[in-house]
Amino acid sequence: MKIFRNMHNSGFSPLSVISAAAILSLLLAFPLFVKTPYILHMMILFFLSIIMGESWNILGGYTGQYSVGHAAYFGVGAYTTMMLMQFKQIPPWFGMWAGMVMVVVVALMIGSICFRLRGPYFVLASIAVAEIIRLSAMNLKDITNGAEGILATEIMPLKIGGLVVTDFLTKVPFYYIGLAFTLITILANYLVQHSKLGYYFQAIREDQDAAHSLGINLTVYKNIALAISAVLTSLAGSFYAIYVGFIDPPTVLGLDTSVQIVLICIIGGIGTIMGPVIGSLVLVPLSEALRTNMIAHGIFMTGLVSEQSAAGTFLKENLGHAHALIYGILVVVVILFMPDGVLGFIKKLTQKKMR
Amino acid sequence: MTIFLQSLISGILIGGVYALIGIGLSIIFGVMRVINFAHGDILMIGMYLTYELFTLLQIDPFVSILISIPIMFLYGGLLQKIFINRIQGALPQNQILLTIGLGLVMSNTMMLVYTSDYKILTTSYSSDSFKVLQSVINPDKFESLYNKGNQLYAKAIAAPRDKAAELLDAADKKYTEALTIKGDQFRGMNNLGVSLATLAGLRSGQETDRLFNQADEQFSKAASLSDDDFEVLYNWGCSLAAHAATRTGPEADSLFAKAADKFKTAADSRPDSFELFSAWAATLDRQARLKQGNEADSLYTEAYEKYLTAKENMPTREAAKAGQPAKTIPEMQSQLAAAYGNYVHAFRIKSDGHDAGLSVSTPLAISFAITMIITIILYWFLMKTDTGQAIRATAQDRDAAQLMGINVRKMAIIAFGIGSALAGTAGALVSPTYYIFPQIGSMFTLKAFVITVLGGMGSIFGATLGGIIIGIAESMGAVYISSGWKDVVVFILFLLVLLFKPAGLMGKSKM
Repeated sequence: MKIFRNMHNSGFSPLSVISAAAILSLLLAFPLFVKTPYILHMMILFFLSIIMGESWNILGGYTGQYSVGHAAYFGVGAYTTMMLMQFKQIPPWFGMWAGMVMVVVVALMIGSICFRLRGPYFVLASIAVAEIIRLSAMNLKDITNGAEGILATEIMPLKIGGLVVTDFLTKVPFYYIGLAFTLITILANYLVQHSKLGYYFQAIREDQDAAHSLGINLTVYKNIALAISAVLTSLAGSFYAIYVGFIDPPTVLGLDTSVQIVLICIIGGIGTIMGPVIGSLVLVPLSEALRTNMIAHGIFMTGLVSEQSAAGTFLKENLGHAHALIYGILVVVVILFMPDGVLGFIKKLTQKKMR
Repeated sequence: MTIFLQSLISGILIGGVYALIGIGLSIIFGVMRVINFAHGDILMIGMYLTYELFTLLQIDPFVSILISIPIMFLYGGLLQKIFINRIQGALPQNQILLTIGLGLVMSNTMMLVYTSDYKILTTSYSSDSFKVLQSVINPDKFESLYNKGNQLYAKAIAAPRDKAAELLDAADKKYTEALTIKGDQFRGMNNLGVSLATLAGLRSGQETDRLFNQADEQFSKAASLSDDDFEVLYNWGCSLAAHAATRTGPEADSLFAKAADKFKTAADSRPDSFELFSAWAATLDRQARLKQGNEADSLYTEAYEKYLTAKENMPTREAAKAGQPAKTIPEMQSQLAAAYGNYVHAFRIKSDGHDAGLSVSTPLAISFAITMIITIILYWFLMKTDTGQAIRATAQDRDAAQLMGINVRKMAIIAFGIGSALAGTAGALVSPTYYIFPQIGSMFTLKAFVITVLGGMGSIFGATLGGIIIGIAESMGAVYISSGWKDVVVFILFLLVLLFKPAGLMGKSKM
C-alpha cells in the first residue's frame, strides 16, 4: 500500500504507468518475434549492463558513496556461482544464492573498513579492497584456478519438481532471466527511492554531518546501502558467469570492470532510475560497434579515410581493440560538458526550450 | 640475515623511484586537491618516450631524462590547462572520473599506436650488478677468504698469461689462509688444488713439478675428507693428467694411470658427465701413445669407448655431426686426435661459498642516485625560490594565496607540470628494468596512491618515506611470502594506514 501511496505522491501519471506497461509487454513478447541470436545477445548484454548500473546506483547514486571497487562484488558473485557449478555440480540457481550470501559477508567486511573513510579516501580504499580480492583470486590457484580462469563445461537444465523448465540451449532463457533480474533491480531502485530508507540514504549523500546530527546512524545505513547494492551486483556477476561461460580474475574482478560499472551510471546520470538505462543504451551498442569494427567501416563510408590506405588498414586492425579509448573520451566529454549525465543534459536542454 | 639485507637494499632502491611517483602525485594533490588517476598513465607515456629516444636516437635512458623532463612538464601543463582546470572545485567524484577518463584515453591511444605488445629496453648494463659491504655482511673469515680466492681465480682465467700467474698466486694465498682458519673444508682444498695446478701449467721446469705435487697433495687431502665428491676426483684426475703430460717415460705412464683411476671413481657418481668422459678418453689416448703393440691397442679401444660415452653425454648438438663409428685402431686414433687436439681440460672450481656482500642492480642504483638528486633539487625549488613558495602557499590555502596576489591558476599549471615531469622521469628510470606496455599505468597509479596516503597527502618528505616503505614491503613480501602476494602486502599496508593513521605517517592535515 505504501508503495502505491508513494507512487501517487511522486506524481505518477496514468500515462507513464501505461507506457511502462506497454514497454514491459513489448519486452516480454520480444523473443517470440525476434529469433536472431545476435539481437537477443545484444539485448542480454543490455540487461546485464542495466543490472550493473542500477545496482551501483543504490550506493553511488542515492547514498553518494563512490565505490570504484564494485568489481569485487561482481567477481565474488561470478566466482561463487561458477565454482559451485563447475567443481561441486551445484546448479547456478542455487549457487546464485550462495553468491549473494558470500557477497553480503564480503560487503560488510569491506564496509566496516571503508566507510570510516570519506571522499577520495573512500574511493581509494574501495579500489584497494577490490585489488586484494583480485590478487587473491589470482593466487589461490587450488580454489579458483588462478589466472587460467574457469570455463563452464555444461549448465544443468533448470528443473522444478522434475519438470524441465529450460535446458539453456538457446539464448531465450537467458533473455528472460536477464529481463527478470533487470526488473528486480529497477524495482529495488524504485523502492529505495521512495522509502524512508532511501530518504536516509539521500540525506547521507547530501550532507553526512547534517544527517548524522539528525540521528541517522551513518555506518549502519551506508552498510545497508552497500549490502543491497552488492547483492544486486553479485546477481549480475552470477548471470554473467553462466551466460558467458568463462571467468578469470582480470575480466570479472579487474579495475576496468569497476570503472565500467561507474561509467554506466555517470554517462546516463547518477541517482536516477533512468540514468543507468540511458547509460547502457549509449555504452552497449557503442562498444559492440567498436568490437565488430563498425566504427572503422563508418569512417570509411564518410570517405575521410580510404579502406585501402595505410591509415585505413591500421584503423581496421586496431580500433576494435581500443574500445576503451571511446569510453575514455566519453567520460571526459560527459564530465566536462554534461556533469549530470546525458539525462541531466537533456533535461537542461528541454527546460531551456520551455522557457 | 643476508637475504633480509638483500631484500632490504633492493626495496630501498626501487623505493626511490616509487618516491618520485608519490611526490608527483602529492604535489598535484597539494595544490589542486585533485587525485590524479592518470598519474600512472603519464608515467607510461614517459616510458614510451624513453623507449623511442633510446631506439631511434640511441640516447641512454638515464641521459634521456634531460629531454623527457621538459617534454613531460609541457604535457602535464597542457593537460591541466585544457582539462583538469575546468573541474577545479567540482564534485570530487567528477574530478576522479575525469582523470580516470584521461588515463583511459592515454593508455588506449598508446595501444592504438604501439599495440599491447611488451617492449623491452635493453641497455648494456640492464642486468649488471655489483657487490657492496663484502667485509661486513660475511663475518665468517673462512667464507670471506674463500670467496676472495674464488674471485681471484675467476679473474685469472680471463686474464693474459703473465697477469694470470700473479692472480693465481694471490688466489693460492687466500685459499691457504682460509684453510689455516678451517682445516676441514674440502672445497677449500679442492679450489687450492685447482689454482695450484692451473698455475703449474703456466710455469716451467722444477717449479711446475713442485706445484703439481702440491696440488696433488691438496686433492688427496680433499678426497680423504669426501671420498665420493665428483669435482674433487675430476680435478685430481685432470691435474694428474696435466702433470703427466709434462713428464716422460714410466713416470708419465704411472701418472696417466693414476689419473685414469680417479676418473673411473668419479664416473660412479656422474655417469652422465661429458667433461669427465672426454678428459678420461684423452688421458687414455695419451697413455696409449707411450705404449706399443697390444697394450697400446687395448688402451686405444678403451679411450674410444670413453670418447663415445662422452659424445652421448655431450650437451650440445655437436654430437650429431660425428662421422662413422671407428672399427680399426688407426681409425680410432684419428678420430680421437681430431676430437682432442688440445687435451688440457678445464678444471671445475667449487663456488658454493655463501656469497659475500650484497648484490646491487646497477640500473636500480643509478636510478636511485638520480632520484635523490631530483628530490633534493625539488626540495630546494619549493623551499627557496619564489615560485616554489607560491606553490606551497597555494597548497596551504588557495584563497589566502590568491588574496596575496599569487596567480593560483598558474601555480596549478606548474604543479601539474612538475607532477607529470616527475612521473615521466620515474618512467624513464624504470624503463631499463620493467616491461613497457600500454596498460602498465594502472599498476603505478595504485602504487602512487598507496605511497602518497602512506606518507601523508601533500608532503614531499612523507612521499619519499612512503615510497621507500612500499619498496621494502614489496621486496620483503616477494621474498618471505611469494611474488604473487607481494602486491597484496602493499594493499593491506595501505588499508591499515588509511584506518589507523588516515593523515599518513607524516601528515598533519585533517582529512
